[in-house]
Amino acid sequence: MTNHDPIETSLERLSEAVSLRAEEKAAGRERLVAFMEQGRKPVPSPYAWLFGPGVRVAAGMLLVVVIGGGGIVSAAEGSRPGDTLYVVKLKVTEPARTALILDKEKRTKFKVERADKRLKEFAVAAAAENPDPETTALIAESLADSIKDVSDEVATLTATGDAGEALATNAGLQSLLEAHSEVLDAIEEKNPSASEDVAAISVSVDSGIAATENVERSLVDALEPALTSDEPVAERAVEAEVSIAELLQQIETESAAIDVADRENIAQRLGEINEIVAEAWELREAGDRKGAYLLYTEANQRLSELKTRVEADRDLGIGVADEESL
Amino acid sequence: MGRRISEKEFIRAYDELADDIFRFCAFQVRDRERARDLMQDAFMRTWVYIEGGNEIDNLKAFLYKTARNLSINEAVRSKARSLEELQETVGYDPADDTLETPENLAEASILLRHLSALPEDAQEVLTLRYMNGLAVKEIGEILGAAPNTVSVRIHRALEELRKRMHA
Repeated sequence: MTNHDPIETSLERLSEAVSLRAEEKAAGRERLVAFMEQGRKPVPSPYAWLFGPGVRVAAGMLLVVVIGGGGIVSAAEGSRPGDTLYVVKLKVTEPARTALILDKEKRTKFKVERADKRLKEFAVAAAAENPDPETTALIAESLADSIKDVSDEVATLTATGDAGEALATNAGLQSLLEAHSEVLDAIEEKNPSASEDVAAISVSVDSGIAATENVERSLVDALEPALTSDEPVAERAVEAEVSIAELLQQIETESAAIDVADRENIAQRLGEINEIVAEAWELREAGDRKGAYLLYTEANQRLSELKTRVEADRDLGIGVADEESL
Repeated sequence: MGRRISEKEFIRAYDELADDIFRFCAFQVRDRERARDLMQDAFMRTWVYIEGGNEIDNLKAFLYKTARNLSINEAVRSKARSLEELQETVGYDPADDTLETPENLAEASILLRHLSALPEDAQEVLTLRYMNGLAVKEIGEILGAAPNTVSVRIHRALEELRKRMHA
């Protein structure tokens, strides 16, 4: 297509920026050929073919997962509640990915993110409509598994004397669950017909919060002997500074989607968090590692909660950044 | 009049059209991963249709229509993506390195900002016409509209975009 209108030319140029990478295209081709060779047809239920009589299909699908070098895996990873491949993501690809992460710290982080992802996926589904019971059960199961996995990691860290890291991990999970607990309440208000589904997920969230609160109490006592150097405190301090910067950037770039009152509320909360960070810095300067560590951890917790609420407000429009909820 | 599409022909269609269908989906859902999945899904669903003994008159238009339906479902299900996500999809993974100059990125950014502010049907015709390089007649087949109607929509969308760019 040729023309001389600058806008038309610019639009055409824009298309040059969006194309499949060669390896993506090749993987897609491979997947398509495998699909055609098997003569399979998509089935409406995500579970029927995996657990029901269509075991042959499931076996074929899993075979593709194993030998396809990421074809279906890639498609499954982008799936959402209600999608055919969602069950594959929760039952196959994510556990497999977790098992492949050798670094303990990264693995734990991935598990926390997994819980976060599950809750966000549920929130999007439940805010708009009622997820089907199987999907809710699947999400609840995956969430409970993630919470248990993270709790186990926290217990291991505590047992091996790394109370600082255990406390930070526990706090990360706790803040995540607390923020999502608020989001779930807001979803229930917005879509009362999803209350049963929300209740099913809230059970896991509430028990997770209770468990993290118990662990927190025991860890605070074990913290002081574990802080033999300033390094863990410095790590928490950097984490807080980075989180504040990221949140500020996020708010700036999405300012159009956040109303003025919410922006002011968020700014006020960020101011409070900054005060906590400043106090932590003073304690750290004075040599009170435990006090500083606890305050930095609290700042990180509050930042995590604020971030979750801002995102939920943006994605679901449920007003969780409102003054009352903050 | 429709005709049976052979396996070989269908694979050839993938080789020729996968990029175009992906690009169309990317501008619709503004998420690279989802666009890739939707493209794949469009081909698989079309093949299931062919396997069911159905004939297709225009495979290219059929694939676009399938991708469009899937993208619409996806867009309804998920919240509209932010401009930054669109830029991430569009501006930071260029196939052509020359697009990555600061001037070009800035230009692309401004264009995207205004493009994403247009009504969805206007964005759609501009995507099909300029990003996908389709003829007016082909766009008409995909959207189920007369060529004249498509021409008018493109003209109006361009005018609106120009106005916004020069405001």
